[in-house]
Amino acid sequence: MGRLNNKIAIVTGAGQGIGRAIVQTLASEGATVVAVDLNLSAVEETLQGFPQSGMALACNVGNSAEVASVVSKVEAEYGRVDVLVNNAGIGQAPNDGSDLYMQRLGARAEAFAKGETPTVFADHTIDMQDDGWLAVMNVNINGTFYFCRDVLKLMSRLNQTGSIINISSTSALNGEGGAHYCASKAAILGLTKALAQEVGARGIRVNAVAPGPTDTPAMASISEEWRQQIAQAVLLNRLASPREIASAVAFLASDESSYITGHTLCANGGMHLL
Amino acid sequence: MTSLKDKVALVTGGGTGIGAATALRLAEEGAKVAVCGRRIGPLESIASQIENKGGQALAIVCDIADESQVDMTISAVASQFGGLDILVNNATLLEAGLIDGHTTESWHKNFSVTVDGTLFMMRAAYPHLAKSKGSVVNVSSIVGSQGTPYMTGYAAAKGAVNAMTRNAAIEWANAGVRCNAVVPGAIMTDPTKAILPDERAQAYMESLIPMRRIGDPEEVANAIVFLASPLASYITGVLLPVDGGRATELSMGAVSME
Repeated sequence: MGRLNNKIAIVTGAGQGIGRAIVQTLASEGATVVAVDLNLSAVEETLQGFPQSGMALACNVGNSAEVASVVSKVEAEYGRVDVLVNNAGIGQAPNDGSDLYMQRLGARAEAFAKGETPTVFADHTIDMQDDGWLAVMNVNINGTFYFCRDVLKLMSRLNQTGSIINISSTSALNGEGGAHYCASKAAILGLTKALAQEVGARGIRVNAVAPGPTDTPAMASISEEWRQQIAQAVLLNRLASPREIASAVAFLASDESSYITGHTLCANGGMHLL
Repeated sequence: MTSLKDKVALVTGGGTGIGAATALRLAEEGAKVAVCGRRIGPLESIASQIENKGGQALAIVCDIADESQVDMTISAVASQFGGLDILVNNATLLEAGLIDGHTTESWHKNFSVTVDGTLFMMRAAYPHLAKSKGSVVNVSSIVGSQGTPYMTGYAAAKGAVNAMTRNAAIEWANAGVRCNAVVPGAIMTDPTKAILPDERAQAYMESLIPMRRIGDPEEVANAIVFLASPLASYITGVLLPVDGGRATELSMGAVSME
């Protein structure tokens, strides 16, 4: 189709799942994509089959020096960046209390199965240590900020237009998920709106996409029963394919959304309505 | 680009402004496009523009506030083009008025076109959309969700369109029919030109918009085509602003200081 011909794009968290689908969709629309991930061999695999498109770089987005280095490498190689997709994110981290939370969920399920009233609540936050909280915040919101800042610096210096898409989550809207995850994904929405106001006048657009449950490798390990439950929480009664999230991102990256900025586009099968 | 090849679309108010731009974009993507409205002249002009580019088009005179005309329009489209995949509810009417001065008549006029007309269209189209797993895109307005004095009847009617969009998304999801809305801000159409008589008025309006410019009908049309297309297959019940960032700005604060 070529809606993104001649555009230079950076996609983070590009080694698997939604990030990989975003890279491949942008590339098939004609963009040159720099695919960034903690895991270099995973992003190299993402770019296989798209030989003329971009390069793979390793980067911990939560480290501002590594982010700065990626952006300067991209500038050195291509001279500019037109599209930035901040997709890198984590849902849990060591010492965030997830293990105890899962144990409590298990105990509750056992009690329900026996027809008994559970004796424990589904607490999670009471066991969340400082480092567990900060690890999730660091990747999800600091990483998004570092990349936005450094790419805006470049766009601003070159006096160019562009489009930034931050991947949030329906969890930011409905609070389904760990407190650290929901808070970090909601912070992305505030960042998105503030940047949209700040840079809109010079034709740089900043939007967010809020995916719902998506059929990624991370979801492959869950039971069929759990999967059914998740699908039922979505109006369309199914999980998204990563491609469906990627096509929403591609729309916001392209000139077809030229008058859309500061918005959070729900690509979640209507989950935000329930 | 052939993402809508052989799909059948109906655009209400398709003769002018956002509706006309949408009809032309849908046709460019390969859809067969019916346009309806109250005046035949502009409709025929859009239909012939589509046909001149090798597309298929149909122009139908219809007052959407009249349910029998709506039913006949939907039947005519479905029988001529063999079904219906995409309904764009764009037709609207603005009767301005302050709350303490709104006449009952002008209040009802706002509702009869925008609310009744949209309901009549959605209701009549649904059996066809359920068959085709089609989708609806309603054209709302930023005035439906943000404070806009002097046009309460219109604002309330657009707020109703938002509610109808959300509820159709829920009621029709199991049938595989998606329903979304675009929420335009200031778009350079004839009615907008009429309320922005001079450069000063236009500059003031632009100062309220983070992107500092008034949008084009084509930019709204692009968003409508995206939501109607299979590219938006996991998107339903969404109100998508096409407003240069206006909805992120709650007051005139930040941007007007520059």
